[in-house]
Amino acid sequence: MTSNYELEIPIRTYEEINEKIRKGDAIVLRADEFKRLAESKGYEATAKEVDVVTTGTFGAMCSSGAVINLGHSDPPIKIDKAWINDVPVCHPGAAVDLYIGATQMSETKPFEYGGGHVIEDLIRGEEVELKATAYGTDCYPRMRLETTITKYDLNQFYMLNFRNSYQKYVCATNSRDTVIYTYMGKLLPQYGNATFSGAGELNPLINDPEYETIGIGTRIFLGGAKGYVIGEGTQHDPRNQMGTLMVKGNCMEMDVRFVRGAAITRYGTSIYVGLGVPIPVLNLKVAKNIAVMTDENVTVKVLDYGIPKRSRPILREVSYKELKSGRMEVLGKTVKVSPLSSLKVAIEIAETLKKWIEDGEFYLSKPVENLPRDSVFKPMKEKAVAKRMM
Amino acid sequence: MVKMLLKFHGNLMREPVTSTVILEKGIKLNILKASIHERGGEMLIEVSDEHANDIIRAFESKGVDVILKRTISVDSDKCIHCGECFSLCPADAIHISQDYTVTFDESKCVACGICVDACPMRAISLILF
Repeated sequence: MTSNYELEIPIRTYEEINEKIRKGDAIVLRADEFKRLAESKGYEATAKEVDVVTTGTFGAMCSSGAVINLGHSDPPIKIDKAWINDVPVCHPGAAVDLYIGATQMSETKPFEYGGGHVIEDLIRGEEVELKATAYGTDCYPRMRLETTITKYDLNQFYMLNFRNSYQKYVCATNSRDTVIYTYMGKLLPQYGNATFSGAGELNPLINDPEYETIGIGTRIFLGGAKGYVIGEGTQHDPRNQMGTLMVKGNCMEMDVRFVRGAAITRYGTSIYVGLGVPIPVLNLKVAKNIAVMTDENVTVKVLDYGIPKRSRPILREVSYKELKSGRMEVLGKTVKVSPLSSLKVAIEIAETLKKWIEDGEFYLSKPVENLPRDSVFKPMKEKAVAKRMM
Repeated sequence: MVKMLLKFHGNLMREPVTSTVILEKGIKLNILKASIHERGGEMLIEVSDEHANDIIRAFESKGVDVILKRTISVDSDKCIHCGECFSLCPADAIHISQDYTVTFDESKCVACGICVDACPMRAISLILF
């Protein structure tokens, strides 16, 4: 047994890793490759050889969006309400700053086209229609605006996601006698299928369960470009291994292979975001955590989404290994199970990040603050009367 | 398996054409969809490869139009291989390979359309009749 003290003895520093990247000598493995190597030769020996481990995930991440700055019109306008391709966008700040929320739906094509699609179309370089209204002020007299824009007309076009990359997520199934359409996908009657989200052993936070290397300021892969972790995401729930990330990146440099608008039937629109985090193998503790967190060892709850309550019945615990096999047991019956996030693209993201580091195009950054390890995710405070009305 | 769309004109409506073909030929066929409307009836059937030609000739001799159909079309530019469709398919026509690529086996597809509205990328379309 390696003692806690020995586990934390530094093997290498961020500076040493970046120096190796500069020289083109850094040894980088994807998280899944690291685990397989650690299984055959032990995590201690693997830690000595490998400098950086890359992770990746590509799933629907509703709490995402983009900030854009339009520049000023003449005469100037202080936008009150605005729409891009008929999708309402909000104006949380000054005159011409807008936030395109991924789940905002088109007023002419609801459920099929939304903010996520607007962001995708802008990244593609396509022209979008902007309409805005205002109440008019002495300094901003204009009250109506109609124009077309592409990303090249914007001053800023940043992705700013307040909750991404859940450490792990639940598995959903449905006890009802009818099909239900949920944010966990289409669920067949009488436990006819199941769905799960998350990349399991390839997920960023799963591989750093104590948030020792991932924190504020960590440089990451976001949507095919470089981005940054800017804090813990909303609903960050470290005590239940359901940590989340708040991230930022430059949409101008992103690639639609890793950012896609999504239409989830009868739920609404969303966006698929590709996110990958490099984990520096600083000591044996970091290496051990990566080695231990395999698809076999990470389990999630199977919940009955047929029960529309905050606390849904838990049917069992299931490992990502079983989930990724495509078949699982639910109440004694074998059913097919769908991943909702793309495991194929998750691997591609980890592989792309690995290549960037090997080619000296991506350097690791040391977080300036760690993510909270002990915060609590509280339920909503409601009035007693509201409950009676339900 | 070969899928074909049979178009029955109005004058055939009261004839038991399909069962006559099955009994005469002794060939099993799988009826995937059937409907009757103002201009006649339509039926999507599935037959094994070796019997396909026999069945086509048998139906045509009875005045039925036979059209060979594709059942489903997947836009590979849109598909992100999320696998949402996989667990919904009752015919096991959708597979997820070792490297998590999602593939469709059109010969197994029964054109039920259950996967179509589940695709978040709207990459799947059913070729309707």
